[in-house]
Amino acid sequence: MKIVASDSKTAKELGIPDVPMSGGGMTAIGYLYDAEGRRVAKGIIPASSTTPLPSSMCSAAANNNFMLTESYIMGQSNEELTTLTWSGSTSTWTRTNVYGCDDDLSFHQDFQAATDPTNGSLIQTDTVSGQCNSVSIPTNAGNGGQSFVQPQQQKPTAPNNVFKCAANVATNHSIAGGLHALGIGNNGGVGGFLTNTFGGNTFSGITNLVSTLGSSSSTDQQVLGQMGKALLRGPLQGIPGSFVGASGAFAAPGITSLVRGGVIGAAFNAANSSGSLTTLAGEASIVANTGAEFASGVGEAKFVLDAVTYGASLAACYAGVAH
Amino acid sequence: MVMRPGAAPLYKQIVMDVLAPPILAALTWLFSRGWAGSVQGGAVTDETRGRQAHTFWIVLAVLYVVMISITAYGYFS
Repeated sequence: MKIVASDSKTAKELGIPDVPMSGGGMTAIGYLYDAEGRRVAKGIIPASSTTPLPSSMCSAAANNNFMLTESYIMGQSNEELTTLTWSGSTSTWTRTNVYGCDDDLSFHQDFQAATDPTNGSLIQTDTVSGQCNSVSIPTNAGNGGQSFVQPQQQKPTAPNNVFKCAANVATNHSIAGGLHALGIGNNGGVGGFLTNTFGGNTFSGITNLVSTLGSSSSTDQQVLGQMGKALLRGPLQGIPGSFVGASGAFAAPGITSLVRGGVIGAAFNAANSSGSLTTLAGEASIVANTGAEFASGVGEAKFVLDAVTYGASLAACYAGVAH
Repeated sequence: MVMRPGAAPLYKQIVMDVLAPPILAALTWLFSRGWAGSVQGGAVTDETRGRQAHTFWIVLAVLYVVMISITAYGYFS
C-alpha cells in the first residue's frame, strides 16, 4: 500500500473526530490504496509546520506516523460497502451503503444510508442525483453497528426500463402466464416455446424482441428465440404485409409458414374446409360468419386483451404499483 | 399524494397516460388487420373491417379508463 493523495487541511476542518493531533501545525490526510487501486483506508499524517509538505510525509505509511481513521470494506463490484471509523486500534461501524440495483429489471435506484449523528437514525440519500431525500429511517435501538436498512419513501425516480417492467408484468398476466400457472408449458421444449409464443402478450413480445436485439449482453440463443417467436406470431407481428397470397394460403415460403399454418389450423380447427363453423356436436353451424372470420375475431380479441393488459402494466410500472 | 418507491413523477405518468392509449390502440388495429389478412387471405370481409374499426375505439376508451384508474390508484390511494 502507498499514500497517493494528501490534503493540507487540518483534521478538524475536515471533520475528523477524536483523532489525536500532535504539534498543532499542518496535518495531512492520507489515503491507502490496495494493489488494484481501490481506496481502502483514510488516515492522518501528523503535524508538520512547513509548507509545502515535506516529502517524508508522502512516503510509505509505516514511515510517516500514519494514523488510521477510516477503513472501507468493498462490495463485489468494488463499491464502498461499509465504512469503519478507527480510534487507535478500536474500530466502530459508521455507515453501510446499500445499493438497490436489480440488473434484471434494470432499476438503478441506488441510495446511501448514513448515520445521523444527532439522533442516530439513518439518512437516506439518492446517490444518483446526489440529493438527500431528508428521509430518516430509524435504526435498531443501540444498533452497535448492526442496522437493518429497509428502503421506504425514497426519492421517486422513473424506472430506467419501464417498458421491460411492463412486458414482464403483462406476460405474467397473459394467457401463457395463466397456462404456466396451471402447469402447462412449464417444461420448456417445443411445448413451452409454443405456449409462450402464442399465449404470451404480443406487445411484451415486441418489447422483448427490441430489448434483446438492442442489448449487447444478449446471447445468440436469446436473439434467435425472440426472432423465432416474432416470426411465428404472424406476418410482421400482425401488421399488414404481403406474405399472404390471394388464395388465403401463406405466400411466405419455408418452414415458418408451414409451422404457423399448422399451429393456426390446430388452434382454430373449428373452421372446416367449406368455410363454415363446426359446433362441438360436430354439426355444421348456420351462422353467417365463415370460419376464417371466426378465427380473425379470436385473434382480434387476443390483441385487445394484450393491449389492455400491456397498457395497464405500463401504467402500473410507471406509478410504482408493479415492479 | 402518495409516491410509491420507483414511481415516476406525476407529470410523466400523465403524459404516458395520454400518449400510450392511442399508440396501443393503433397497434391493436394494425395487428388485427394483419391477423385477419393471414386467416382470411386477400378477401377480408366488410364485416371484419367494420368490427376492427369499432374495436379501435373500444380499446382506446378502455385503455384510457384503465390507465387513468391505475394512475389514480398509484398516486392518490
